[in-house]
This record gives sequence, C-alpha cells and structure tokens, in this order.
Amino acid sequence: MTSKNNIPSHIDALMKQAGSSSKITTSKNFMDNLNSRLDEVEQKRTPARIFSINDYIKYAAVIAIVIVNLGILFSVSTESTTDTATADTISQFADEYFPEYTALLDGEGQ
Amino acid sequence: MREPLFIQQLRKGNREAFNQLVEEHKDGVLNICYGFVKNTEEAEDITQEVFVEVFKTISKFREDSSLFTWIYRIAVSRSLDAIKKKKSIKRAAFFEKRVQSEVAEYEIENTASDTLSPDSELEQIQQQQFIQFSLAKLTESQRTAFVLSHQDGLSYKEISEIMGKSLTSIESLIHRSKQTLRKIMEENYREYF
Repeated sequence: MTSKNNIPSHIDALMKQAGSSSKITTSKNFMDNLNSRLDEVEQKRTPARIFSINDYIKYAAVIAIVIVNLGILFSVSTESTTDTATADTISQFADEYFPEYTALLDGEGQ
Repeated sequence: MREPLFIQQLRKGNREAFNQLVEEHKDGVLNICYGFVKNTEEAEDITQEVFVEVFKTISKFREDSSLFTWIYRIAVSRSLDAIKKKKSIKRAAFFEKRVQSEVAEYEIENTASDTLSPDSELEQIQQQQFIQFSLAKLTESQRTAFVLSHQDGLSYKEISEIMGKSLTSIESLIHRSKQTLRKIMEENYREYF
C-alpha cells in the first residue's frame, strides 16, 4: 500500500488509478431492452393506417370516383351547348340598347 | 473490406446486421460512457441511446469517417450531454456524491478481495471519491481526451478522429489533461487525506 506520508508517490498511484479503465460489460437484458426500443422506433416510422380495405374495394372506389367525375364533366358540357337561348336574349337587348353595334355586326355579316 | 456492404444493409434497416454491429461495439461504447459518467446503470442507458441514435440516423452517415469512429463520437457526445444535463438541473453535488458512492461500491465489489480490511475499504472509497472529484474539475475536452486515451485499443489517431482534432493537438491535450489532473490532485490532496 502506498504510504500517504509520501504525497508525490501517492498522487502517482492515484493518477494511475484514475487512468486505469475498469472494464465493464453490458447486462444480460441489454439486447432485449435495445430491441424493444428499436421496435418502437420502427413502429413510429411506419405510416399510421386510418382504415384498412381490401384491394377490390380500393379499385371499385377508384372506378366510382372516375365515373362520378366523368358524369360531372358530361353534364357541364351539355349545359354549355344549351346556352343559345342566353345568346338570343343578349342580342335582343343589344338591338334595344346598342343599335349601332348591332348595325355594325349586321354590316360585317353581309 | 466489408464495411460498404454492411452499411448498405444497416441503411436498409436490416436488424440482423444492426444486432451484429451492436454486439461488436456495445462493450466499447459502454466503457467510454462509463469513463464519463462513472455509473454502470447510467452508462448502459446512454449506450442504448447511442445505438438507438445510430439506428435512426444511419442514413445520414456520410462515410467520411469509419463507422466505428462515428459511433464513438456519438457516445462521447451523449455522455457529455448526460453530464451537462445533470449540472443544469443543479443536482451536480448530489450526483457526484451518489456517483462516488456507487463507484466506490462497484470498485469494492469488483476489486476488493475477501481479506480486505474495513480500513482498506474506507481508503479505497476515499481514493475513488478523490479521483472522481479531480476528473470532474477537468475541462470537457481534457476529460474527453483523458477518458478516451485510457480506453483499451484506442489509438491517438482514432481519438483525434473521434474528437475532430488534429493528431498533434490530441497529443498535447492528453499531456495537458494529465498535468492538470495532477495539479488538481496536489491542490486538493489535503482535503481528502
């Protein structure tokens, strides 16, 4: 044992002790604990599913959405072809309020 | 060299490859963490955090250093964070005492023989407390350099890579850390013995 009467040599011993790394090893359940933590990380990474449906229903839903969209497009386009009545009303009022403009248009037509 | 392929497997999230990595480095990382916090349970907890971080951020690993260096760098950073956290919540004094007693207990459990007298046990506890007190007085970089320089199998070159400093500055840092530690011990010797 180092004599404390000799301070420098005791400090030498303490310096040696401070440097000596006591080799420790992980506990038995280290890997289990780590794996459960990694499982949690993986679970967080996977996007959460709001609901789950099978593939046939998915396809049916897509087809239904396409049909509804086509239906809307078709109805809009047929509405635009029936706009001649609106055009007639406009020309009727144009005759009344802008006779010069209609005369000009008639002249261009001839 | 198997590393690029191995890293590729890790990036893909291959758990088998990751477990292999953990098996290879867990004790090394644990001992580094222990060198800083001087508490077995806390060191193990930090080691777990290190590997969780490795698992999460392996895709960001740029391969400008070796995988080993990168992991050990995380270990040092996490250990220093743990020390800072303790200091910031003003429990340093309590922590040091707790650590000191745990270290002393651990040392006695692991090194003391059955024939050790109560006086010798007390002396060992005193010595451990004094060493911990002195190490805590070192600066962050000195302590890091000192801890790493006493890890088995770590060369100065590897320490310089882990700490991100040049080889010459590491050499002088280690030298200074020893000088400072000795000075601290000399100045406070009378308070302990």
